[in-house]
Amino acid sequence: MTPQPIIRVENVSFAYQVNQDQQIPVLQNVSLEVFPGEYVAIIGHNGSGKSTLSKHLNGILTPNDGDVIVNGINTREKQRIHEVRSRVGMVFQHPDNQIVATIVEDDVAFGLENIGTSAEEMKTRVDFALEAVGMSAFRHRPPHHLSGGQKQRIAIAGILAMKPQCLVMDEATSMLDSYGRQDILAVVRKLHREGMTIVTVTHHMSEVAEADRVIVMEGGKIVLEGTPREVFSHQERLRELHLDVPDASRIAHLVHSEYHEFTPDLIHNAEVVAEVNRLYVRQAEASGS
Amino acid sequence: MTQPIVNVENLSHVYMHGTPLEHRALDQVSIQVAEGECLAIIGHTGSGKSTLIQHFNGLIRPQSGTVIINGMDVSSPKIDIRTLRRQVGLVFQNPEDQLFEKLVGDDVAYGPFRMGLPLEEVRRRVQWAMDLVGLSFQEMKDRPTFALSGGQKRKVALAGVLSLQPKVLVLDEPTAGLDPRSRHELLERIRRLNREEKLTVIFVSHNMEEVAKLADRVYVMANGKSVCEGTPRQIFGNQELLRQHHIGTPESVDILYRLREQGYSIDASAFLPEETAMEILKLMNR
Repeated sequence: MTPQPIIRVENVSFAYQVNQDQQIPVLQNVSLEVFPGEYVAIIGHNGSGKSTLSKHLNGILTPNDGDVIVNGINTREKQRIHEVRSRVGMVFQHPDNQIVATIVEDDVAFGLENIGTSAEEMKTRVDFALEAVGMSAFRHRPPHHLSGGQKQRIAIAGILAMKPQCLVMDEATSMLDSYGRQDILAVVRKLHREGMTIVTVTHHMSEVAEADRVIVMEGGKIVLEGTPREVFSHQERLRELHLDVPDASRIAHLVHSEYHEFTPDLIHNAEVVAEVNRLYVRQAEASGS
Repeated sequence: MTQPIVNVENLSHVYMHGTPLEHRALDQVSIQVAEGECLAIIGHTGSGKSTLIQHFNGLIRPQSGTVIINGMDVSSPKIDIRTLRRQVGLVFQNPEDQLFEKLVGDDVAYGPFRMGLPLEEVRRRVQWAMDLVGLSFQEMKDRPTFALSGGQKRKVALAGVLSLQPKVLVLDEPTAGLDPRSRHELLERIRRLNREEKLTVIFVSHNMEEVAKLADRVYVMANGKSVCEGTPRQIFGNQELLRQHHIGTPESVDILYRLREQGYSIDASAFLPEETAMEILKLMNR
């Protein structure tokens, strides 16, 4: 038996209304399933529709045509939207726009207060959420003195406190420096290991390399889909779509073109190093014998 | 070096002075920028980068130390701030949030218009500035700003600053949040402004690929101090320094560092993917 998808996007089309007689189509007949425990990355250049798609996953936007089903609930059912959002939480690009309270723990508890959680349960969940993102030591601090990466971790904690099954990140690391980004990625990696479903929209190809599945968007449609290794092997196609590949892929391809023994389809820095080791040892053996 | 166009000496700045929240953001910073240079300032969050650049057009006046811009002393009470700000164009982080006119052309024209320039001259400058950032004057001047993409809005904001024809362009995180295509394009534009229009460019960035591509020279800031200065090659070759001050490295440099740690003899001052590939080929005797 195949598992039930946690999110099902069925033939979704969406257009932004500019004025009465002008529409900008953004999504055209997009279908997609996300399964429990998966780690999915969505890439595409600005205007390709990837952010709009991600905003459909928990009912921030609802389709003009087609349906989005989250755990059996259609996101059009306005009265059940709280249920949808407690299953699928979302973290956005700008750290500052997501902080509402003046003390970290109040900020994390904000969503829980809205659904009327008991004080005791609230404390347990806030403890758990802050622990999960490694920010317990900051619980009594004012959030505006934190770094961008720390603020994003607080935003994620606020989502985790709601105990969702799926975390959607819309360019959540794009305003952070590389250390802030590493912090967030470490948290996401840990959550994913513990069973959380992750959907991430990103421009950082080294982040994409960590996903199980990559979806490439262009002109409001899904144009390429596969494991990161499969997708990044289409270097020409990606260049046409104005997308990068991880430096590791680029370097592996460059070395391969001069030295065919070197495997071209590498996507992680560690793989490049391992490949160098493999060939170096082989060369040493060959010249030693 | 001939007279530097930006000369900062022993600059210190303390926020919330005399309160329990007192914070020393700059501590005896000295930096010099030559006319026509492209300079990057890097450093961990909170290292004082943004406080420093706000001194360059007088948004913050020196508490102690001196800041001389093109011969003008920013600490002097008699300084003509308007003249200073015409010489130093400051582009903040996410400048697209600061567009306020309805139409692209009006937004770019705001600065020159306020300078009281004749209409013909305003028009000429707007066209010139839009050309420089790669926005077609004819096509774009009457577009509503809200209907632009993020990358386009950022170009409009940049054109608005350029229309004042500054001698020094200061940018805070110029490409943060842009997609790869818009990022490459904007970097290319900034490079041309620097190389062809001879504009002095100073930029703050945490994107090390960008620093590697664009900068002639790099200052590293940490805890309010300027701790190191050098070419990108010198800075990225210094793994100890980068680790110590929590500065990331370009991905391709990370691969070189890892290889070096495993005992390979590697020149880690290379920083472009092509150079990293060359280093690996050298190891393989190819």
